[in-house]
Amino acid sequence: MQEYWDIVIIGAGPAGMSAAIAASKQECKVLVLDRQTGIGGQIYCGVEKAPDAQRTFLGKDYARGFALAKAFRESNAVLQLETTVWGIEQGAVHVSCNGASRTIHAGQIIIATGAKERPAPVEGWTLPGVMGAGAADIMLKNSGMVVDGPVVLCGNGPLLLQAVAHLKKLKIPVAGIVSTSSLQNYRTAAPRLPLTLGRPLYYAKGAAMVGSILTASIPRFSGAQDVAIERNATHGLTVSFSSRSKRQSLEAQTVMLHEGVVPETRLTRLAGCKHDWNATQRYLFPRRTLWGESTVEGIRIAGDGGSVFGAEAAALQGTLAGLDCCRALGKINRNERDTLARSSRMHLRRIAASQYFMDAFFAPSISALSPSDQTIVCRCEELTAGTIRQYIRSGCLTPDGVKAQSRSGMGQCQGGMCEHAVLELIAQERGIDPDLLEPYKVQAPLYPLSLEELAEMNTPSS
Amino acid sequence: MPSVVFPHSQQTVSITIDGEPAVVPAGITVAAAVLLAGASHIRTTPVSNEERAPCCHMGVCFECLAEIDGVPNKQGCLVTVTDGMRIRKQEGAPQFLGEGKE
Repeated sequence: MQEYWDIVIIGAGPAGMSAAIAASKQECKVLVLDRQTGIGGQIYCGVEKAPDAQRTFLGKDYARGFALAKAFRESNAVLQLETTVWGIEQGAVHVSCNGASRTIHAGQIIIATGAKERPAPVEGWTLPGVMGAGAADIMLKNSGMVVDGPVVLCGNGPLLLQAVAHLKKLKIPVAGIVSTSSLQNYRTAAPRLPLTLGRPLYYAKGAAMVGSILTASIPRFSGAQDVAIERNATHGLTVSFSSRSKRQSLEAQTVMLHEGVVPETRLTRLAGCKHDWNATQRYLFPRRTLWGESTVEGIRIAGDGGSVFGAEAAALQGTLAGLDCCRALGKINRNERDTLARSSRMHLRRIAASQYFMDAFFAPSISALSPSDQTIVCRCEELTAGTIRQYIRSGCLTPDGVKAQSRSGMGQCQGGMCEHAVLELIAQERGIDPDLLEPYKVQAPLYPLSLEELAEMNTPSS
Repeated sequence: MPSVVFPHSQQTVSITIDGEPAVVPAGITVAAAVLLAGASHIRTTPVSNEERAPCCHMGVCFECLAEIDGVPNKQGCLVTVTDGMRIRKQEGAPQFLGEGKE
């Protein structure tokens, strides 16, 4: 007998949990799947097990996740953790759980897989001791641990600022902040500043965070380019870079890199959804309506996996997608849906508008996306930017062409860490916009599976 | 090496990393536990034997691949430590089908 649910939701972050809450209120049979060991997604990672001290430390925004998790647990939605969705088609997902794979059928599917840190290669980024600023944040939330100082933070984006604020509060020494942001961002973001008035508290908090960093006695370097990290004689790391046409270097135990977050699109691409290009933030995102509908019937997208608007917006989008699934399943009619969605829609509109400011203010600079020839781009197959440029010059003009010839994107991460960089490299070499290129073709299984598991799939157990 | 600032549990669990015993707080991930135990890396690459350590902590980068309780190729950031867990760093290419080191 086939396993059937009215709605299958992929991802138990703010979007997935909110969708589940909204839909299970309308008597839908809802199944929520997540790869992690706990609910909350990345933003509310560890929310159910975090001790009081951690909750106090992370403040009000994190506390919102606690309330959401509680409401989700009280709903009738069924949760299955440590479950990886490795295949998707209209009306079905293929999942792996505990070493066994199976197919789950669904009336409606909501993809709420969120965003990831943009992997932006720099020389030495594969060295132990180098990690994402978001990764450090997850380690803090999920394991209650903080990295070893002194720390050098390098890149651009709100998460980088938050990381500095956290390190300061935990009294971990920060050796320097190396900003790769371009001054051009101030000019493009300034006209969009009035949009932030729709979210005064959020931006006041951000401004206060920036203020506290500016007044702290942490060395700051602006307009940094050609960042390189190497191991030094004292088992630490040396970060060197050019800033204001001067070569500088800093010593660190830990280096945090960050170039913003981008939607995780491998599942939506596998599902066959149409994608567009965000030219300011330079990322690919699946096309969707207000209700989260993708270009594939029965597949909706909620949260930062669609476009990056943050946790609050993700939860609202989850509610809208959940309600629209109920409408599609005939549980409620269009008018009922609209009434239930009214306040979420209004709130979402304000957040979405102000995101145009955020996108411009924290836009990645092209120099941060142009790694030197020596830089490893494909971490799994250890291919450098120089090697990939050679393949492009010899006629591999698309990501799949480069992949077929060089093996980039064929390692265990399945291209998750190099697809953005390869796309940018080809666009730069050819002098075209990345939106003219198709990213790596995504194929199932999305994650490594043993052949044994695949062979035993869907065979009735004795 | 990193340090625990917000213990998620009063309890600890005993694990081994490459046979060396370690006591770590309950509830943390394998990736975090290996770092906490002071290891410089969690795997070496099959291509050039380069040392790698957890990079994304969210299941994307696959840099934290380790052998956990005899099963190779496990993403250490997606597994919570349990008492008696045997963790081995994954040196080079993984071994399959019962050829694991344990």
